Amino acid sequence: MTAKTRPAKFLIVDDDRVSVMAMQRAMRKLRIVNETHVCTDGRHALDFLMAEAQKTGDLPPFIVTLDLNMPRMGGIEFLDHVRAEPLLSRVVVFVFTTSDTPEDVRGAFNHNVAGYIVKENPSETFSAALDMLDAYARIVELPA
Amino acid sequence: MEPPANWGRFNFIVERQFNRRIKDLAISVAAIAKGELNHRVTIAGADEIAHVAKGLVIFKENAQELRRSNGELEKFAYVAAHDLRSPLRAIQDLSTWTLEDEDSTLSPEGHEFQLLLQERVGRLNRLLNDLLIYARLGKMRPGAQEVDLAGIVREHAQQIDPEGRFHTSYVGVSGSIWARVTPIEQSIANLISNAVKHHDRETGQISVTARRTDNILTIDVADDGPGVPKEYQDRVFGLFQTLRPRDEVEGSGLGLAIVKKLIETELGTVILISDPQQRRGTVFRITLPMAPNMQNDNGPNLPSAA
Repeated sequence: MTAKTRPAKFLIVDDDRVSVMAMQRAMRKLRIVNETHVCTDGRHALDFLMAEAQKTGDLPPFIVTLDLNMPRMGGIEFLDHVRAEPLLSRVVVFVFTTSDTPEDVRGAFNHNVAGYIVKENPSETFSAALDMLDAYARIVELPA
Repeated sequence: MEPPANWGRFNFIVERQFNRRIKDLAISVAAIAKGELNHRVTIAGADEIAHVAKGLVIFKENAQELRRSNGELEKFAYVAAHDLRSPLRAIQDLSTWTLEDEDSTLSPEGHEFQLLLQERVGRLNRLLNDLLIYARLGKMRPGAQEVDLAGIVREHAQQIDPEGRFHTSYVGVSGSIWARVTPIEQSIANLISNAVKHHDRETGQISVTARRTDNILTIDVADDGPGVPKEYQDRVFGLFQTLRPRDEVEGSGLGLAIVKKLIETELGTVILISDPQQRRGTVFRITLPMAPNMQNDNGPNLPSAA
């Protein structure tokens, strides 16, 4: 690999601990060992990302998996804030959703999300979603 | 006695006022019929027109109440679909992980319990799905289109019984009819599925018959299964009603309730004909009104000019 890229960090935003565990299991299955953080709602995630951006002055590439229905600040509202904040312009967001929420997913796509991960089948759909991100596929460090 | 000199003019004014009020009322009726439920109805005087206007206000309020409660039902259905399903998803996941990670330490009984738990989760999921379908019925009513009954029967029989244990036949109205497809298709599918599910033998016959008289379409779905005893016939169309344990026949108990709601939304009827003491089998008979101007099977119904 020629280009020196910084390793991506992952942020799981979900208020259900079992959903977070499902996400982490999917990542283990995909042998993703990148640094991973967990936030329990949109507000928490936004504060966390802003703090990271201000700390470094240049936010490392973040891949966010986002639940839509959360307390305090839901997924769509979180996306509104992220898209309005220049510091967070490079954040890549995947919506983590049940497969039967087409209206929600359509709403999310209007906010420029990179794809979605289906709760029924997280590792396959996560892997497919990451494959779509050529640039990020390189950033994700898989152990040999 | 001679009428006053200005009698004609007075009459003319009364008539004009009367006409204006009738016209206002007609505008109100049209607005409310179109669903403009914020429309203000003018009530003046104490005569028959005022009575009609007051009646119209009551209709409007009923319609508002209906719209509100429909909205709530829709919200409830959404909650049922999403908020109830996510903890269910978590239960399913935890059980799957237990089997994936801990199976070597589980006793055969523990393993069996996990599998039973997952089956029940699947059942609850199907219940939620069917409940959502039921709640949403009639919300979207696309217009009429060409409907090929023979094709619908063939396709769903194949889907429901891919191994072909049952022989499903169709006779009757051929070619396409002009109708709303969803109620007809979903009802036929549910009735075939019902016949297959509740049959007590390895093989059997299902026959679908359709006929058309004047403006009525009648569809019979008949099977040669065990039949439904008279004392249970009232219950089969009820919500969550099944006549056999769920461990024997997987079903939400909503299939026939969905058929009933679909057909009644189209102002049709569905009845069950069965008398197991006399003979085996059950016939479900759907009767649907067809708008006369929708008749379109095999070209226009004109006498041929031979």
